[in-house]
Amino acid sequence: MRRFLDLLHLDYKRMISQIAKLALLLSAFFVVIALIFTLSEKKLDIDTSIALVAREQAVEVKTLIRNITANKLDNIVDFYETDYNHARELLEKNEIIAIVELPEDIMGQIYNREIVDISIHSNNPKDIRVQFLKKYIDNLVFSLNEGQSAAMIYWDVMREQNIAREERIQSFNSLALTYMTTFLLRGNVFGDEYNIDKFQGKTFIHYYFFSMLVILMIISTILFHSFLDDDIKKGKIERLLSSNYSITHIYASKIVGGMLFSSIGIILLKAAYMLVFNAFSLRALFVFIINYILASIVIQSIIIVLYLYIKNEILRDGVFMAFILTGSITGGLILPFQSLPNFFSKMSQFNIFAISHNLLMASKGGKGTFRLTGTFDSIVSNQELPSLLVLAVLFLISVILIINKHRAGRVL
Amino acid sequence: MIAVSNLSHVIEKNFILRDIEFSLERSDVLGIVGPNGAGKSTLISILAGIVVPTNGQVIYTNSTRMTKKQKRNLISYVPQEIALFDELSIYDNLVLFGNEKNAIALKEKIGDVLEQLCLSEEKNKTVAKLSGGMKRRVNIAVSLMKDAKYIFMDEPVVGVEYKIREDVEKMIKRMQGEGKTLIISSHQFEFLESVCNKLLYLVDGNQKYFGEYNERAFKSL
Repeated sequence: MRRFLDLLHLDYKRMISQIAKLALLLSAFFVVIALIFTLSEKKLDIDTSIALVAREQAVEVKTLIRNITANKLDNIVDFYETDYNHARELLEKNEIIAIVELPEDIMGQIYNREIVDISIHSNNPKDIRVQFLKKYIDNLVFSLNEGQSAAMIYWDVMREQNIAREERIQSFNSLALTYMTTFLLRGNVFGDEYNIDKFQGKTFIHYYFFSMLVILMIISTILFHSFLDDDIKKGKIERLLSSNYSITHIYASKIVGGMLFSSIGIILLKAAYMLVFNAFSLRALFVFIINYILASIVIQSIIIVLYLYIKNEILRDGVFMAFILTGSITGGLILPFQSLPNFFSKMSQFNIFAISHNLLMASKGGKGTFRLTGTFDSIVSNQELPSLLVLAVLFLISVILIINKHRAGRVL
Repeated sequence: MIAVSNLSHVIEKNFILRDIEFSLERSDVLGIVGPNGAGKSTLISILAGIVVPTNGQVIYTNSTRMTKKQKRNLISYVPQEIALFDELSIYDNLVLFGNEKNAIALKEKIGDVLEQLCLSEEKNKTVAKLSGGMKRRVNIAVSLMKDAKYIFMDEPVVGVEYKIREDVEKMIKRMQGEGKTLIISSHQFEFLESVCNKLLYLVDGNQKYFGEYNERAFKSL
């Protein structure tokens, strides 16, 4: 234990000497976060406005719109009618959460007994408010259909009473103004969904914040272990080994040291993030730290392996850059898996970037912690167990490679 | 004693060392000479147990059945590079490399080593702030922290001023007097001549000469 602590003391001294670099790195990340925050400030308001776009101005359509807008949710949801282009502008500015679009020639389709599709456009289809809107309109149409069934009974009653057809139609049309014939035939209300921008609003910040934490964790790890190169080249590791330090002592202290070093910035950023969103929770922070340790141990060992196996500095720097870039892209840190070929989503089970991203995002706590949006929730829940297994396997492989390098006498 | 038999080392199908054989007794000081790329540093690394040879063996104290830990306790190694941690003070470096579990004994040992190398006054200076010669001296001081029987030095006086070279010579002679066996690789014949009694001459990994370090041997190189 004393040997391990002696080495940790050395790493502590190195950490101190690297603080300036870390501060520089952190300040860069703070600037990026501040930029994102400023740019998306408006998006943080909880909007519940919905634009209604009707491509046709038939009486029945207006009736439907009246049914949608005149509801008991007046205090919570604002519906207002506008044209499609204006609605898109509002959506892009995040001033509304969705556009409900009624297509052209609704009446024609109804008369031809075709199913009419209402379109819904949103920045995030998984947003609970959008989901709520869909359910609401579904239920509304269901009610209208039920009302329409009653109208059909009324139609039959009138016929039984020998009321003339023209008169029945006139009477029926007057009912239709209230109960809408338009959805008489349909089962589902919505047709296509258009996902215009997956990263608007809070989701955008939340997602990229954790992307940045993963990248910060990897860069600070690379930075910290840059000493390893010097240690190997100048025979310091050899000397430690000949001074009866074991490989376990040497690398355990490096992993712990590197973990502590990269944790400084990450935990600070995470705590600041929680405070900014008024969602500070000690439990969530604790879960975050545990998940961070899990991810960090494996990343530390992978970086150490790269330092041990790639002796050429230029090549190694190139590999680090490629590692960060390809890992970030294929791991869904830059674009979510929805926007990538399905292959990447499947491969993410083995991607340390994706696993770390999910682990850091999965720091759910009690009340006041961040809610994970559906997309990422599903990734996390899909990966939870395999992630831990993959982490264990990656760590084991790294340990074997480190030991092998020393045993084979290639380093020493 | 230390005996090397049939020792070869191959890296990527190239022979770095081929069929090296020699043996040394207590208090022997062997100088390894040869042009660049002759395999001097590799041989030192193999002898110090740092590199595993492709073929052959090194026997320490007549025993072929020694654990790695036992071997490590017998050996002290001074690498060619200054293998010190720049962020730590001289004292902390000696603590780190000190092979002593007892804190009091460790402190005493450090005191002795610092005194031997006239470093007591500088002990709290961080290595990064020391001059090249001073670092070289501390580099050797670290090897004294172990009470090793065999000391392997790879270019111990490269780039050091005359005064420090003299100190190193004195140190080597003292260790020799204590019965330690030293193996030193160097390009500096003058230095080797003043401390060595045995000579090993390598060319392209091949052993060209092993024997007494005398004028005849020197001239034959």
